Amino acid sequence: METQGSVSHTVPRPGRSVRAQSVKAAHLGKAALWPTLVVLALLLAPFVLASYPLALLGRVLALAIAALGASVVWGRAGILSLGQGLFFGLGGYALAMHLKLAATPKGELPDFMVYSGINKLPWFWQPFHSAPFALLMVVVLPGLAAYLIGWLMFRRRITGVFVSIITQALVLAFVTWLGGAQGLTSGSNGITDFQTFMGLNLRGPDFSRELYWATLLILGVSFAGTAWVLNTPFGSLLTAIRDNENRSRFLGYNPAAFKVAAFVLGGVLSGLSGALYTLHLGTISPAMIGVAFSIELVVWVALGGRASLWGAAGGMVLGQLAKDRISSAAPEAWLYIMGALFVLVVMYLPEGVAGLLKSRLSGGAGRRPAPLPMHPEVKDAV
Amino acid sequence: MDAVFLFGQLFTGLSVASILLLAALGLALSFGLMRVINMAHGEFLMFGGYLTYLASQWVGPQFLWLAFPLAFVGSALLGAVLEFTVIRRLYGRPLDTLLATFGISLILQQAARQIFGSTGVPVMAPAWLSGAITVHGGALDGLTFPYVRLFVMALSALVLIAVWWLLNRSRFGMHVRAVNQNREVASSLGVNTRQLDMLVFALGSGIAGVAGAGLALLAPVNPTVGSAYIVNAFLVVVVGGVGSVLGGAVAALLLGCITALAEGLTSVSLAQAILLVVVVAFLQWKPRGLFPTQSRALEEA
Amino acid sequence: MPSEQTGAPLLDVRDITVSFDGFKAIQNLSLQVWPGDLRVLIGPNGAGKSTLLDTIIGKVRPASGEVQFGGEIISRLPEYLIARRGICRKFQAPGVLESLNVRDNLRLAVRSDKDVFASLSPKIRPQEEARVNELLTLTGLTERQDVQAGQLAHGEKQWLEIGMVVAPRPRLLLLDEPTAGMTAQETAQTAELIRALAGQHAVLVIDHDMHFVELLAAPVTVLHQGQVFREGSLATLRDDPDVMEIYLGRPKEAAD
Repeated sequence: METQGSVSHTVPRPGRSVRAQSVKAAHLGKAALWPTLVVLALLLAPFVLASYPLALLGRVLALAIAALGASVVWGRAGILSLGQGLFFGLGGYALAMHLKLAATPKGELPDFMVYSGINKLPWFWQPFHSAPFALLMVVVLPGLAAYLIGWLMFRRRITGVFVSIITQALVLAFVTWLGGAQGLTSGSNGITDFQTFMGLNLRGPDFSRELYWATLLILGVSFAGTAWVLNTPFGSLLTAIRDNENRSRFLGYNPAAFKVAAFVLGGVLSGLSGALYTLHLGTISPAMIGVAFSIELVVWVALGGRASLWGAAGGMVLGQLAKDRISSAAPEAWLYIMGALFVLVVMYLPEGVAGLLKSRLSGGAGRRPAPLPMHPEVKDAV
Repeated sequence: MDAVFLFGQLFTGLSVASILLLAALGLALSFGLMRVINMAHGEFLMFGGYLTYLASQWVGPQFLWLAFPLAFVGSALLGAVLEFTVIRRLYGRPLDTLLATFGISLILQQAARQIFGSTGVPVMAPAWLSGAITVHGGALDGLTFPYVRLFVMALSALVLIAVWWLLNRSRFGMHVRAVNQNREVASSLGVNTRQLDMLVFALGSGIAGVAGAGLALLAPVNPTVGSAYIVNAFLVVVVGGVGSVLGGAVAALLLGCITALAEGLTSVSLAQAILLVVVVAFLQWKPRGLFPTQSRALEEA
Repeated sequence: MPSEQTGAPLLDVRDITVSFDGFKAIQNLSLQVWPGDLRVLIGPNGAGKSTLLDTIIGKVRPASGEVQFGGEIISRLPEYLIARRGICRKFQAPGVLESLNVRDNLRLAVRSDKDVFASLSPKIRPQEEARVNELLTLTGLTERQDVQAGQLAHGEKQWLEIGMVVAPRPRLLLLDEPTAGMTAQETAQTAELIRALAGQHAVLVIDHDMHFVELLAAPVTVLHQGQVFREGSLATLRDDPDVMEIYLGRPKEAAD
C-alpha cells in the first residue's frame, strides 16, 4: 500500500535528533498542561456549577466513555461501526430493567407490562431483581454481543463499509424489535419512572452530585485502562492490522482475533456509558440508542480526533454541549449544522481537532504522527 | 396459514422488493465503480417522491408522464452536484465518504421537513391505476392484485432491463465495465474516468428518483421515507455481491419476499430482526455475496 | 549450495492444481525443498510463480493435491497458523506496517507469542530486544529505527520487510521479487544477504532479474503455464532452446 495520506511529514535530516529531543521535551510540557487543567476543571465543577449545568456535564461525560470505545474500534483498529448504539443500549437496558423492578412494589409487575396484559414476569427479567447481576450484565451483555457479532463478521473477513452497513442494520433491527415488543420492553416509550438504586434515592437532592462523581470516576478509570491497553503491543497490533492486515496475518497473527478483542472493548465501554447515561436521564428508550445516536457518536469522535483518546472524549463532550445549547435555541438549524459538520470534518479535518493540534504543536514531527486517513479496505473489501 | 393470505403477502413483498431493487441498483452501480457508499441515496428516493407530488399538484390527475422524467432528471442532477462537490474529493476514502454523505442526508431531510412538513404528503394515483385484479373461485378465491402495485413492478422491471442494456450493450456500459475492471488501464486507454464517475453516480441517483416516484404511488411521501428504505437497500447490495446488477436484482427479490413472509408470520418489528439474522447467516456462507466479482489483482496487497 | 537431497523434504508440494474461475493457474505441480536449500523460481508472466507462493502460505487453496511442511499437511490450516509453523513470505509490493516505526515493525515480527492475551503484556523479553537490534544491524536500518515505516524509501521498505520475515527465524523463507525497485548496488547487497540466510533457513526466491539470479548461484526451477518446465543451474538453462522459446520476444531484464 502506497502512502496516500494528506498529512505531510518533514523528511528527517541529519542532526535532527538533538533538536527533536528538545522539541519533544517542550511538547511534553505543553501536552501535560492541558490534560491537567481539564482534569482540575472537572474535579472543581461540582463546587462551581449550578445543578442543571452540572447534570448536563455529568451526562456528556457518561457519553464520553462510549467515545473512548469508538476511538479504539475506529481510530485504532480502523473498524467503522455504526452500531455502537446497540451495545450502549444493552448496557442501558440492563440497568433500566433492574431500576424498573426496584421501583415496582413486591409481587406486582412493572406498569407497562400490566398495560400490555402480561401477567407473569418474563424469564429474562427475573434475575434483574439482583443489583449485582444487573451491574454485571451492564458489561457482560454488550461484551458478549460484541464478541458474537465481531466473531461472525471478522472471521469471514467482512471489512470496511460492509461492517458499517451490517452494524447499522443490527442497531436498526434492535431498536425496531425493542419498539415493537411493548409488553417485554415497554416499546418505544422506553423504560422510565425509576426510584432507587442500591438504596440510593434517585430523586434525592444529593444524587445528581453523587452521580457526577461516580461518572467522573468511571470515565477516569476507563480512560486510564484504555490508554494502558493501547500502549501494550496489543495497541500496536491493532494499528498493524489496520495498516496491512495481510502482512500481520502472514507474520502469524490472527487479525480476526485482535479485531474481535477491540470490538469487545469498544462494546463494553459503550455498555458502561449506556448504563450511566440511563441513570443520568432517568429513562432509556429506543430513540436514544438508534441509528442516529450511533452515527452521531462517530461524528463527534471524528471532530475531536478519532486517533486520540483525548480527542474522541473531548469531541464528544464539546459536541454534546454545543448540541444542548444550539438545539434548544434553534432546533431547526441544528440538523443543518450537524449535517454540515459531518461533511466539513471529513473533508477538511480528517484527523479531527486533536490531529490538528498535534501537528501544530510538533510541527509535523511528532513521535507517532496521526495515522493516514487512507483506509486499507479499498483493496481488502473487494 | 391460508393460501390467499400467503400469496397476498408474497405479492406485496414483491412490489416492495421492486422498489428496493431500484434503490439498490443505484447503490450497486456507484459502489461497483467508485467503491463509494452513499448514505444520502435514500434522500434521492425521497426527492423523487416529492417531485412526483409536485408534478401531481401542477398538472392534475394525469401527472405520471411528467412525474417519472422529472423524478429521474431532478434526482440525477442532485446526484451530479453531490458527486462534484463532495464525493470526488473523498476518492479512496470510503468510510469518510459514508460519513460525509450521511451529513448530506441529514441536511436534505431537514430541508424536506421545512418545505413539506414532517407528515407525509399524499399522491393520488390516477384513476386508471386504482382498480385491482381479483381471483375468483379456486383455492385462491379473493386474492387481489392492485393495479398500482403491478404498475410499480412493471416499472422496475423496465428500468432493470434498460440498465442491463446500457451496461452490456452500449459504449457507455463498456466504459463502465472497463473502469470496474481496472481504473488505471481504462484511464490510460482514454476513458474519462472522472466524467464517467459523475455520470454513473447521476444515473444511480436518477434511478433512485424513479423508485421514489413509484413509492409515492404506494404510500405518502415524508422526509424519512428514504432512511426507511436505505438500510435494506444496503443489505441488498451486500447480499447481491459488490457491483453486481444481477446479484442485486436476485437479492432484492429474496429479501423482499423474506421480509414480507416474516411480517406476515410474526410482526413488522420482528421481521427486521429476522431479515438481519438471515443476512448475517448468509454472509457466513458467502461472505462476498451471491455474485462476487473475482479478480486476483484486487486481492493483492 | 549444499542440498542434501536425502532425508525428508521440508516443503513437499504434491501434485497441486489451482484454478481461478476455471482458469488453471497451476496444474499438477510438485516441488520439494529441503532444509537449508536456496532455490530460485523463474518463468514468464502468468507462469504461476506468485500463485504457487500464495498456495504455500494458504492465501489460495488448491483444488486438488496438498502441501506438506515438515511432514504435516498444511494446505487446510488457516494462514496465520501456517505462518506460525515457520513459513514467512515477503510480498512483491513492500508490505510494511506504515504507521508504526521501524523498530515496532520488527518487534511485532519477532514476538514469539502471537495470541491476543499475550499481546496485552507490555513486558518485552530481553532476548527479543536483542534480536530486534540484530535485525536492525542486518538490514542496515539502525539509524532509521524511529522513523515511521511509511516514510522510508522504497529500498529501505524492502529491506525492512526482509528483516520482518527473517525475524521469527522461519524454517522456510519465501521471497517474491525481493529486489524490485532496487538499485544495482542494493541488489548485490540483497543477493549477499540471501546467500547468508540460506543454510539457516530454506529460501525460495522468485525473480525476473537474471543478473540477480546469477548472483544467487542457486539451482533454478522454471515454471511455465502452471507446471514445472525445467530444473537446473542458470548456466544450463540459458543454453536450453526450450527455455529460450518460452521467454522469446521479451527481453529478460524487462520481463516484469
